[in-house]
Amino acid sequence: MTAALAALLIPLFTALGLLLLRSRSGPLVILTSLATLAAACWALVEVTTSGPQSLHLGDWPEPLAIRFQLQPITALLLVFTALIHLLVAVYAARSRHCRTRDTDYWPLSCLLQGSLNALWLSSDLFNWYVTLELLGLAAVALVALSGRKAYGPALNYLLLSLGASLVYLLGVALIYGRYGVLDITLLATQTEADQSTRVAFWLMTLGLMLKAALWPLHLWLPKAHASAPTAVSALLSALVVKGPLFILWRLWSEAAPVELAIETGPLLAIAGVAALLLGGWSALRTPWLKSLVAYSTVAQLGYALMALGLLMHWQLPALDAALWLFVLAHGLAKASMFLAAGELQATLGSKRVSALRGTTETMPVAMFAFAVAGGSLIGLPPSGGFLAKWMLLEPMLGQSEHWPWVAGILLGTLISAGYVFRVVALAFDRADPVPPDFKPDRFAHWLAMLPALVVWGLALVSQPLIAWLTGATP
Amino acid sequence: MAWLWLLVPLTPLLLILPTLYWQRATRWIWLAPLPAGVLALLQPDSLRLPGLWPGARWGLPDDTALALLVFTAGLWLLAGLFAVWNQAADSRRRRFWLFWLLALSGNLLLLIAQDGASFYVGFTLMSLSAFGLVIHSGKTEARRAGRLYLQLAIMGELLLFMGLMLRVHEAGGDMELAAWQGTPIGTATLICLLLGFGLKAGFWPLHIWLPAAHPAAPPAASAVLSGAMIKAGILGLSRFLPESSELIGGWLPLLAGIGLISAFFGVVVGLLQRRDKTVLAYSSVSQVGYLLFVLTLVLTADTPALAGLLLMLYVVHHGLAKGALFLGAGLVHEQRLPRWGWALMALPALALAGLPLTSGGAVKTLLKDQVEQAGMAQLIGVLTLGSASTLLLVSRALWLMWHSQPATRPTAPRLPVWLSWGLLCIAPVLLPWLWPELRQAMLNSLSIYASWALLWPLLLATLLMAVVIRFRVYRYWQHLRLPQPGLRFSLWARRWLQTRPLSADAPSLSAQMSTTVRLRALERRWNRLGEDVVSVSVWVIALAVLWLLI
Amino acid sequence: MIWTSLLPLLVVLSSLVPGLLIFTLREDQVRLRTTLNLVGAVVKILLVGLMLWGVANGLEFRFAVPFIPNGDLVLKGDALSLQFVTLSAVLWLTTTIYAIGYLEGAPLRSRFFGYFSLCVSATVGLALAGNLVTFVLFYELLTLATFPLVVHRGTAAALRAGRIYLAYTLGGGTLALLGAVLLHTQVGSPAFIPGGYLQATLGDDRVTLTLAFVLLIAGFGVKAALFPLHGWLPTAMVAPAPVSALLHAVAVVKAGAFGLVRVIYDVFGVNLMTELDLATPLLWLAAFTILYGSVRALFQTDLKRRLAFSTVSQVSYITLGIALLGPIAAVGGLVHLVHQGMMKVTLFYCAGNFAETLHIHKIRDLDGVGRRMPLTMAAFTVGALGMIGVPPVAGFISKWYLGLGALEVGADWVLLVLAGSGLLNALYFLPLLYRGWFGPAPTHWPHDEKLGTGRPGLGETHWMLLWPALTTAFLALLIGILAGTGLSPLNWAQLTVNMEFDL
Repeated sequence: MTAALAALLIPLFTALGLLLLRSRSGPLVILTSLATLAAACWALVEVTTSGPQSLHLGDWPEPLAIRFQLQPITALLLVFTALIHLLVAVYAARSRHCRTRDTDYWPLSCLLQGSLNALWLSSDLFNWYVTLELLGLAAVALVALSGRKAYGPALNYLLLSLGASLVYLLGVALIYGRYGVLDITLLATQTEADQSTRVAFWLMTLGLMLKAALWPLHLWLPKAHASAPTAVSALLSALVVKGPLFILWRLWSEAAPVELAIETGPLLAIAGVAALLLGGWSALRTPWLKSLVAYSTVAQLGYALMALGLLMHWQLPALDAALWLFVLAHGLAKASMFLAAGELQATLGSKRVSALRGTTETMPVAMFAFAVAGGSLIGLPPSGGFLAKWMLLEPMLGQSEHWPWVAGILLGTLISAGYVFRVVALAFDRADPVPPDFKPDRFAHWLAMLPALVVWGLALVSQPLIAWLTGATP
Repeated sequence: MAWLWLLVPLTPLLLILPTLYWQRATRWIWLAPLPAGVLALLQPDSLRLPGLWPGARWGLPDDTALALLVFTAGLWLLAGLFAVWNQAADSRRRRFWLFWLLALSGNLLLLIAQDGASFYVGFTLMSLSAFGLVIHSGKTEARRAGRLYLQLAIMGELLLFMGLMLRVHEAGGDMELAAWQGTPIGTATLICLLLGFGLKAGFWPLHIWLPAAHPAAPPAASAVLSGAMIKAGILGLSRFLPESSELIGGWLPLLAGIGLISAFFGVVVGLLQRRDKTVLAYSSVSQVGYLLFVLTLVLTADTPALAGLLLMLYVVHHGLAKGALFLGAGLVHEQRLPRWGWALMALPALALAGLPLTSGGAVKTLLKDQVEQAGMAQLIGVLTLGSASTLLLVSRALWLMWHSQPATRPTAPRLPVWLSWGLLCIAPVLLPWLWPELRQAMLNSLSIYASWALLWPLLLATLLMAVVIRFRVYRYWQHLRLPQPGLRFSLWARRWLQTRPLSADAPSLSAQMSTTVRLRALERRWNRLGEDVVSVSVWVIALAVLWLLI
Repeated sequence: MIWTSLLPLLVVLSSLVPGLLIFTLREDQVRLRTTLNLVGAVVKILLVGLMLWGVANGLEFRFAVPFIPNGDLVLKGDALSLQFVTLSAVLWLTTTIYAIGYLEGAPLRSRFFGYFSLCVSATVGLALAGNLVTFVLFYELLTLATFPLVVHRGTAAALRAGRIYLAYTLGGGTLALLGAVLLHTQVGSPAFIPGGYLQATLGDDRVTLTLAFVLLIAGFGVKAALFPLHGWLPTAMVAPAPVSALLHAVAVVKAGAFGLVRVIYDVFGVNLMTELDLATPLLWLAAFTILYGSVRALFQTDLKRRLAFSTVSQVSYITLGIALLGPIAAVGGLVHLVHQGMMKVTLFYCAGNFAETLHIHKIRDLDGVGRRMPLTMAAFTVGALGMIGVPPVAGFISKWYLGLGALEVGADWVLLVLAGSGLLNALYFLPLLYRGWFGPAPTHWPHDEKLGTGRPGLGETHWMLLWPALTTAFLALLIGILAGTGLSPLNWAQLTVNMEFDL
């Protein structure tokens, strides 16, 4: 537990320290990130060897306590967060094109990581509200780093984030009024499927869906992610949207009454399919590169939502593994994709997809990273995305009454293949290539490649990973 | 010793390389069939070649095969010798020799094949390479003939392929030709084989390629085409069909009828032709008709051995005589023949018509005997008429040759040419004395009755010719143009292939555009809806909550 | 780990490692790249030879790593897989040499050869795949590795072909994946075994099994170019000639056909197929594709397009052979896997030679090319005659066994299909041969690149273009003539079929 606390506190103190010292030092953040990563790994080892642990802040008794809980999946998410953060930090510090090198990016990103880690560790509704607020504000501030052009999307993001928090808070209040507890484990023993519980859960869900940009409340995401600086886009897509998803998952799989979950599941799953199709369609049509990647986030979250909805509907814990595999695979792939896309468009001097003509020749590594990450998004074997899809497909195909859902996966796969290869095919156009404005930055390209390789490398540890995830999720 | 059989088809194949790359080798290329002849004399055991395909076996099953091998090798040898001279000045002679050797290899292989697959391999090799011989001259006429030949050869191949498959299946996977003799045959198999081999043999009505293709080839090639290759069809039928079965019995009258029709059809149409080699080709059609007829005798007769002997003799006799005539025709087109040359030329012609003391007289007599024995005495008259008409036809051929010879005398005597052609010409007379089986048949035909039976149709025909020439009867059909359905079909097929159907109609461009535009507008409107991020999201939440409360 | 369990992995790595190394090379490191390519190819042949020897002596080669629950990644060398592996290994060597000659001086060769090696690795992996999960995995990887090769030229036409190729193959891959998961949920993914592993569970669920079959066939049928799914193949021929050769002869279409073989024989098994009556529709489809491909080929004016449609037709021979569900027909189908590969690769090499040396792309320009390039034309002739099924070229052997096999199971009408296809093949190949050998040659060739010495004979084109074509043509002839010997593909196919049918 100490290690987990360290992983939470190191980024927070780094952020504070940077603000106090008025320093914007990238290397320092990288160092502390390394420390965070080490702490998270330690926590992972700890939780694997000695099981879940919890910590009561201030030693208050149960109903009032603010409780931090370290579960295997939490530990994994800590490591995942630290990893992505470290990678993006290295990118932000080293890349020639990164416009965030000497800006407020450093404290904000640390704050973001800290609040996210707090979110993973928390296990009561109000704590989550606080961490969500922190997370949202940090994210909005990061988006606004991009300058005047990003103000509009950032403002939208801010407004909706606040609104979502309010809706969520309303739900929390209802729950508190009804049961008098906020801790999720306590709540799990008490909830009943009555009207007020239903409304409360629904309100919380809507708020969280808006924060996680789940369809149909995703509208803010493409603009916000696309207009943010490259490093920020990567963080937002890979990490931030996963926070609310985590809360949703815990709410519905632990706290919610079973009947309610069964009833709500299909709605979420249908929303997931819609996200897959409509998000995918938008990605297929948009003329802007980063927009394409952002829409792909909307679409890919559809998989997670679908997994969650079906998990609730069928009460199948096996789908937990699918859900978290999706989160991991998508996070890694998307980080890679945004970094690659950012590098590509900065080097080419154009934000359009059509500017990518001939990039396999001029910037092979970046394009390859994009393609490899895209392969995982499509779910090509043996990438992480494939493993997740397999885990999702298995219970679907196992029983013939579940078969119709498969159509969603099928179409989702095809459409994601469509938007990934839309870019890749263009990159092979040698007849009329767009010359780059600068000499390509090989280091940054390899950096973008790294998470993509990791996500394909998951295949090497796939079986222990799946076994671990299946056993690890409560 | 058995491995020596490999030399028979391989020698020609191995000679291809020196022919292509070493000009002087062509002078000795005519010796390629020699190993076959030598082996026919040595008669080693048959060779099993499981490495090729299961059941592959090469060798000589019986005397018929032996005789055919010797005769075929001899004909190819002599024709080859002729061709060495004839092709000496040809700029494309390497190509000629290439196809010559390939066809030779195929022809020899099918003769020594004792299993169905080997036979088919040889048959195909021979058929397809003969295409190169047919179109050798490159003239329009040759190319047309070649196209038709190839089209029908391919059809024949495929029918044969099907027949072969069916036959193997009927025999339970056994590939030995000998075993097939006792295996009953199905209707489909029979039809496939009849059509497949019939297209090669060229009897009516499957002859359509023959009168076009044989004249188009160079003379040596025509000689082997007409003399040796078309026999492969008849040989194939005799090898592939069972000796007696119910089904065959039902088909025999039809086949015999076709044979006789073919025999007279060839004569009638041949008489109307205006080119010597075409007339000779029609004579082949006619003679193949007789062969088919003999084959039906083999399949019905109580003593198939004798009928089989007749078939063999007939094949050899016709092959040599026709070879001599085709070579002669080639010779005549190049130079004027001396008087004795014409005398030589008359020998095979008369032999074909069945003059006593020649191989023709011998086989005709034998044929009549067989027909009588088979209880079809009423056909004797028809056969007699056949002899008369054959004489008419060959006379017409000789007459046309006479008129087509160039004005110049031969510049220099060329021994090999005279030797090869002369040997072939006197073969019909010489052979009966050398070959015991044929000698017996000839001696049988020398009785007064038999001789008279052979002679009077010839006299009748001579009389008829005298009348025709005296009163210029031929002027009535001089300008008659015969339809050539085969060539027309062939041309039509080519044209059909070369005019491609238009691609399926694509939807008109404007319609496509307008749909795209409309869809694009729709998409824009939809996108604009998403522009107002906050309000839409708020609306969605509001509606959701409202729905929830209700 | 003993060597027998590592060998399958080594066979895959022998092209993967050189491929990855080649990616890192600069364009001007020609010698190193060539060395890597050739060393990889030769090492692979040696390893495959070793494996052939081992399998013939009863050794078992199996490499497995855990992948997903109940579904390990298994690479296994059995008789069936080795047939395909050997074909790939041999043709990879010749095609590598060909490609080195073909691309001499062209840009982006490191990228090309990198993907080229990846493509072969995927093919070999697919051939060695020991269960359905592994198979599907390599099936998808193959798509990914070939796409860059298809679009290598980078022109608008190439891109269009690439997009179409992807649309078809990724769709097919997804369907195959669904089928695999569906079966996986029923029985897991045990190793392929002769006779099929599903037999034991029959009676569970007809619908599930049928659906799984349809999904798998649709998935693999895309690459095998079965009728409604063949559209990518003719457009993909815009790729460079070595790629077309690889695509049409070895890697892609064969992967599909091989998948069908695996599904029918080693997953479902003959008995189950008969019981569920699944093969009949496939048989009809294959027969229709054979004729359809040939008819379409007839109306093409572009040489490579004609060859492409011919592939559509010829690959369905394999499907036909296995869908007949009889041992003899199965031999025909399996052996055609190799035979068609040899013949078609020859044809594509030759088409590439004509295009590179004389810029001949259209059929009408072939007139008299036999005068200028007699050896290439001779190789082309061998390939074309084999396609028609003229003995003794290899294609005849396949047709022979297919015909007998069809008769054996009582499907006599198949004979008509074979004959019809032979006729159509003759109709579209013989005119090419006629033009090449007998057509009037132009007095000078307008776009003569003067590769090699520029004279007819061994110097008629670059030796690296000529020799592969001659080699494969010779092999096509040789395996046809020596079909009855112990080393022939026919014998090997017989061995496999004996196991599948438990004879």
